[in-house]
Amino acid sequence: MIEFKNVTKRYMTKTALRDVCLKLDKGKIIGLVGLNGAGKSTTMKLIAGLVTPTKGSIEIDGSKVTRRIASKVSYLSELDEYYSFYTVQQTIDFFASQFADFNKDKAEEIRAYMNLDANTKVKHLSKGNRGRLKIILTLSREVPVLLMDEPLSGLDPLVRDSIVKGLITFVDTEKQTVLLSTHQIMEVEMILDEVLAIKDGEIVDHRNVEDLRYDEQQGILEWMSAIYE
Amino acid sequence: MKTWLPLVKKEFRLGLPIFLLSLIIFIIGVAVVGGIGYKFDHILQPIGIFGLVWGAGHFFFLAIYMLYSLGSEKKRMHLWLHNPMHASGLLLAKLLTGTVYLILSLLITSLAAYFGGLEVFIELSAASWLKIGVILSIHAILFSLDLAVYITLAYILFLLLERYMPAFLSGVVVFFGFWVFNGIYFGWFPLTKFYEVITSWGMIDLGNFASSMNFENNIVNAMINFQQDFKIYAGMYLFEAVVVTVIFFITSWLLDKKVEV
Repeated sequence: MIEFKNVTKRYMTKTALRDVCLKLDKGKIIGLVGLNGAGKSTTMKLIAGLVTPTKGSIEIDGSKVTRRIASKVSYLSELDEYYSFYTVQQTIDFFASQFADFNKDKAEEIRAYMNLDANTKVKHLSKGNRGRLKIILTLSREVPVLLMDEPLSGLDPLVRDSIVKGLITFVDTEKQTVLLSTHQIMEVEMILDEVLAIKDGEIVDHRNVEDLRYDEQQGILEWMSAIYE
Repeated sequence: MKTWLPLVKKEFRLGLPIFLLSLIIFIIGVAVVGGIGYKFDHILQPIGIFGLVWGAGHFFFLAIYMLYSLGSEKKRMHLWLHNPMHASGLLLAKLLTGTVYLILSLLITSLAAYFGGLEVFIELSAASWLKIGVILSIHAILFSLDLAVYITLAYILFLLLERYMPAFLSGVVVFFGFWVFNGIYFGWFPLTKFYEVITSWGMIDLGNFASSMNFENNIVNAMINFQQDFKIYAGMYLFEAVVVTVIFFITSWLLDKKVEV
């Protein structure tokens, strides 16, 4: 379980997150939605231990989050900078060497599914293929928490579709919690269990998608419109 | 070790351009000074002198290597720091690969300088050249490591300050801070009584070093005078080793706990 206890994050004069209290349960795919600059990436980085809270604390399964929480968290950054001198296979091998939980068989399975050539140098990959590589590297880790910051951003519809299908196929929802931020709500709506809305650094709503759909007869987009307009 | 060695392998690949650049500059330098020397019928001596100067430049090799390597990671910090390994392991992998490249580059430079002309320019026995080479190389490596650790701390401080000010200003603050520190630590501090008390033990006798060599008389005298004026103590080496180790762990702690992506 991921728990935020009164977390505030300030960057000089700008408050990115304001006194956030939050509990995210195990085994869910959770969408983090919000406008640009709302605090989505900061939330992801805080859970990954790549930034530290100005106030409050974050715990994953009872352990305080530090940079070394990387042993429990697989983080997909919105940036797609990798070591350009490596090939796809060498990048996978390097990740496998750094994380004891990295499943190379699963990586090979996802790579084949994503139709990504193992021998292509990373520097020669298109944006879409770099997006696919990010997915391979993130989903191949057998960790309790998967964080995906804008995994669909800037990709063409075919790549987005293969990534969403990859998520359904390769995430172990029994053991893994997935938190993904995206602006492509329509494309991920069908795979989300919960949705979190963030606005000006505050969590303004946290809903179960099924409840939203059946009890309130609303899709995520309509629910978002009510929040942000 | 199981995760660290592949990281070291990656660092070798990441840092390769600095090693190659050092070699290329050396080869171009040798070609240029050799060409100029050829015009004056002295092809070997300039190459030997250039080799000596370039070898001395290796004092700065590791600092430049660390700046390049850390700079390369800056645009992919999310990748470099998203690792369960302690930050000291991440930094040590860079320092180790840089040191290996430094030794290789120094070896190539020294051999080229020796066979290229230094041996002809200054007549010394092979044993004396070996002795000089080993002593200078060890000191080039130690000094280079020492400086690299200070530079790494400066770079991490630059990353920290960047959170609070524009990158340019952070660079300026760290640059001036570094020179103020240098002035105090390497200029003023060694002149204090305290430094003398804690380091002036275990004098290293260089007495036989100069006279064992087959230098011309005036060079021997100059070296003997130098040895009389400049005393070297084991305490100096130990003190600096302790300081650098402490600085390395402070740097690692800052990278682990304070640097943000």
